[in-house]
Amino acid sequence: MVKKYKLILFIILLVSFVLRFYKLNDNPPGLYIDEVAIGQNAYEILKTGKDEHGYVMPLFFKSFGDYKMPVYIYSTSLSMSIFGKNEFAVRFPSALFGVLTVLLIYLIVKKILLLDDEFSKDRIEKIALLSAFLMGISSWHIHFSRGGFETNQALFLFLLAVFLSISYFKNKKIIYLVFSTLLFTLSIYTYHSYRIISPLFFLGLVFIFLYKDKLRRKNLAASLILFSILFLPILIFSFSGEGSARFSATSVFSELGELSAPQKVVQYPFAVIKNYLSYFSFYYIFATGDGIGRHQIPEFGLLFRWQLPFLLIGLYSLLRSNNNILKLLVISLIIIAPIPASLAVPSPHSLRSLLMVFPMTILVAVGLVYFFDNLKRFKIYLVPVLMIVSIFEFIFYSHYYYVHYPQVNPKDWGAGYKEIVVNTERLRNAYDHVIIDKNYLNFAPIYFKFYSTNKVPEMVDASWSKPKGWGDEKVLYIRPFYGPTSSPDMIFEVFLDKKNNKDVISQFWKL
Amino acid sequence: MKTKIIIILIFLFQLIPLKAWTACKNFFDFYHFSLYDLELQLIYAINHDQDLPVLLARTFHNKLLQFFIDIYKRYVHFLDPQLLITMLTFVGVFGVLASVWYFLNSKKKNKLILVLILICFILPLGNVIFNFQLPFIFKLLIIALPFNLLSIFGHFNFLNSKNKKAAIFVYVILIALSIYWLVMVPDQAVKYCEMP
Repeated sequence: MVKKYKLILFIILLVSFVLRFYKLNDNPPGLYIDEVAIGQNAYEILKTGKDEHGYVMPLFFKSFGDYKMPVYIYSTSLSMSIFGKNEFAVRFPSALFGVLTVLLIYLIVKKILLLDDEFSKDRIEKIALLSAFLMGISSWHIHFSRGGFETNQALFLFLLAVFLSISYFKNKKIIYLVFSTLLFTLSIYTYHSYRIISPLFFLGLVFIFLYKDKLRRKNLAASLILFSILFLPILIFSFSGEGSARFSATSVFSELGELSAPQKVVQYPFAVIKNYLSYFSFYYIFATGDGIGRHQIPEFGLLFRWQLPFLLIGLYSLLRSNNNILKLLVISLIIIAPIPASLAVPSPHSLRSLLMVFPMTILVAVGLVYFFDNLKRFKIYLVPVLMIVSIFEFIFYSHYYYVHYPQVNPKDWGAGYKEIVVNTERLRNAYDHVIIDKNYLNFAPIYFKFYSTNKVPEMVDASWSKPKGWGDEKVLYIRPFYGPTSSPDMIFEVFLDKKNNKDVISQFWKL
Repeated sequence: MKTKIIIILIFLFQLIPLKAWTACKNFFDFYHFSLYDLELQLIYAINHDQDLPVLLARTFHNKLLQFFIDIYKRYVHFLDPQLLITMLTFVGVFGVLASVWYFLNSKKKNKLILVLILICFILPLGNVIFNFQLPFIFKLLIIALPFNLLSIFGHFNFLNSKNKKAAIFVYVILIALSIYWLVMVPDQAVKYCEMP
């Protein structure tokens, strides 16, 4: 690779690194419950080899009954062995794999384009570097790289498997096929969506390879058998009571209620089609995202607004192109990525469909190159305009991310729970009992387990009153602030309430 | 001749969903720009910039910038696939996409098609900004009809493509999907418009 391209790639990776690691502890503001659960389970595994429920090195983590996939949790254990038990360690694997995904998109695009003679090496480098740059500054990808999201690691593992598959296609070395197969299955054990995406994609690849390379059928058959064996445990688990609990809770079909068999045949496909179409809404992609506070920044969609025309140009350009491999990869991923997410609610859902960021980024890159190639005469005017618009939008996004987002969405990130733990630990020794009102604070126990080494306080309901047997024993009673409004939104307060025979201190904690 | 009859039938089929829209009074407020709404958005946004210098707050939150963001948001909301399918059916949306494709790929650009494409994408933008004060039936016709007319070009070219059997197969699937959609949500239009 020419030195200047190496330097550009290095700068892109450096920028990606900063965007994903800068103030990782503080923004997003606080660990949300799944991050805390991952962190706590990871810590337990590191220290005892058992999860929080006492299972030894489990394949599926019971957690809140949602049975989390294991790979990210074990990755976090590794991270905690280096960084300790803190927010940074929980988020580190996601951020690291986020940066590596930027490198990966460069490698994949370059490898695919080199298989063809359509472009010169110089042009290939430009498209690959542009794809990497766009992924590096992608608001969608940055956001999910900065939280402890399993889907981000799954995305990396899946794309690495794709890269190795393409390498096998080119070099025919069995080692690539083996590792590709292993990584496809590893992605399945990282995030739920890949239970559908990886098998579909892997089977598609196997058929293509069989068609293109009949001589190596034995290798492909062996990889298929290996994949099937590794996939079996999760397949069995998916149909078990525990495994299907998560699907039942989020399934689009559960919303339709009790239906007869003919009604199911008619209504189920419609529900899925409707959800599927929602993933191609420009409003969702470019304007507001999925509306879930934890998933995107207010006033921003998944991609930047200026990218819309280039996405369409890129799609047109790719469909016309002779590069069948890139065409097949991008189109197939765009079609497959929303399928598992369409089976669940709410839809659209930017976390479950994160895989779409990969083909969309490539389309924007291709669109940019095609646009400027066809408008060479106006390039001198258009490039500065585009640069100003894109830089301003990125700065605008950064402003929203670092100034507005921590103020607007702290509740989505469990903000306040850490303060409850820290202040409780500060006051605990002065009291004989510590109890928590589980109304609106029902996730407090996991936060206590993560942030404190002391016994988790007892959870009680709102009707609790001090038992007579406790006599003059002092009680630290933690409850949300009910106050003049019924919404305990922003303030968690412990207060004095002698009237109901509670003897507590008054403490006012603001989020 | 056969192709022309098929296209006429497809065009008439595409007009079926418009009946559900005739019950509407207007598109929801969300599809129209409002200065009052814009001001409220700015007040909300500026609230979070209390600790920042005024110049910086105003750089990011001003009426001009917010106007473009707001218009963009409302316009792309209008170009939602489900809204277009509700207005044109799957067949109609396919026809529009095919028209754009064939137009871009043709060596000699048909000016009428270019004008139709521009009308299709500019009229909704005009409605977002100005909220045309017309009886809704006229508003619907001036927005939906150009799309339907544009789709004819796409259908014509697609039906005249080399693999006619594949083309017919595609249309059978699209018509089946369209009928399925119309049966499942005959009143889907209420999701996008106010009723009297």
